[in-house]
Amino acid sequence: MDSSVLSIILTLLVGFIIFKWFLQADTHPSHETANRPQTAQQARRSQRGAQRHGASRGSSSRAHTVTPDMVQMVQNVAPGLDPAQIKYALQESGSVEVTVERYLRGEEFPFPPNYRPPTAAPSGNNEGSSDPRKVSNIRSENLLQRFHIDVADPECDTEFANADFQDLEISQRMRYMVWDARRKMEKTLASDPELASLIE
Amino acid sequence: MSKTAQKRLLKELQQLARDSPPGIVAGPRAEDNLLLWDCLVAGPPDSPYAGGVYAAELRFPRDYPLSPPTLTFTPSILHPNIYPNGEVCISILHSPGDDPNMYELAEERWSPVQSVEKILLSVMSMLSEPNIESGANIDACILWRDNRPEFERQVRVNALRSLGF
Repeated sequence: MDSSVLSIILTLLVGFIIFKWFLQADTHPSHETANRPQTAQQARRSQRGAQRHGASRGSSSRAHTVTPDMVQMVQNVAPGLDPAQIKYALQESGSVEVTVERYLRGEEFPFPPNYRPPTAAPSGNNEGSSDPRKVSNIRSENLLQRFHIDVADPECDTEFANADFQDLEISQRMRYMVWDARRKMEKTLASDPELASLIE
Repeated sequence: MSKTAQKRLLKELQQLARDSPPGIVAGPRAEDNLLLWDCLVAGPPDSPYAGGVYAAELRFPRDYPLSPPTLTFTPSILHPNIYPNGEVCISILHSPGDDPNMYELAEERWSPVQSVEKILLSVMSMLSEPNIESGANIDACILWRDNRPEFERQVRVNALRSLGF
């Protein structure tokens, strides 16, 4: 009687211990901690492999959707990181918290495979701008040629010197205005050496 | 083009031909298209643009004078309120109504009571007094603010070259 009770108690106790051990094997923090470096190492290894062999290999494990807000949230904590690095890390983890923790642990954030940093536009060159108003058309155009005015021709002066501006057609008024400006500028240049020095 | 626009533009053309302000000439480029005008504007005295003559084109919308025309210098000139492509940015050429940025007064913006003559006079005024607080050419704004002698030199050189010097 005593031995059968004892064996039942022992069986239950051993069964409980074994059951408890199985449960703890999956949930104990030590299990996760012990395995995490290995997982991270594997991730880095596959990542390096992807960098060596092109983007196609790593793309299947980076299926997480990344929104600009997620990138911005990580960027707020890690202003030194490039948005491309953050986006690549978020695609891997899928979580802002995990990515921030990685940053705080001091982990490296690689750039995506085949990443090329954007080249800065040279200053003063707006050709790449999408706004057509910023495409420069600042240049000098010889208005004498545009309005067919030959200031070396004496007949040119004869044509305009005695003309009454109000009697001229619009096109002739424009020619008169350019001719008049040219003659006045000649006089100004004769008396203004500083202005004359600008003519190369 | 609407009949209203045609009547209005012909009236303004007659007005300008009869009594145009000094330093301004404007008229249609071709007889069969009243919506595109050529203009010449003289540089105002006491400004670095003085002595120069500047060519521009006015493009009118089909619903003129309800909507404003656009004025573009051809070629462009160095000025804080003129975009690098030559388009002029002044309040009188902005669509009627309140400024979404609360910067311009509604009465300063385009309305059908404005005219070509008023636009060109405003442009002459703009050449004399740039407004760098609403700049269109940032490089020109910076140069005008930080290195005025160099800004004026570039403007004068451009004026001389445009007159064949």
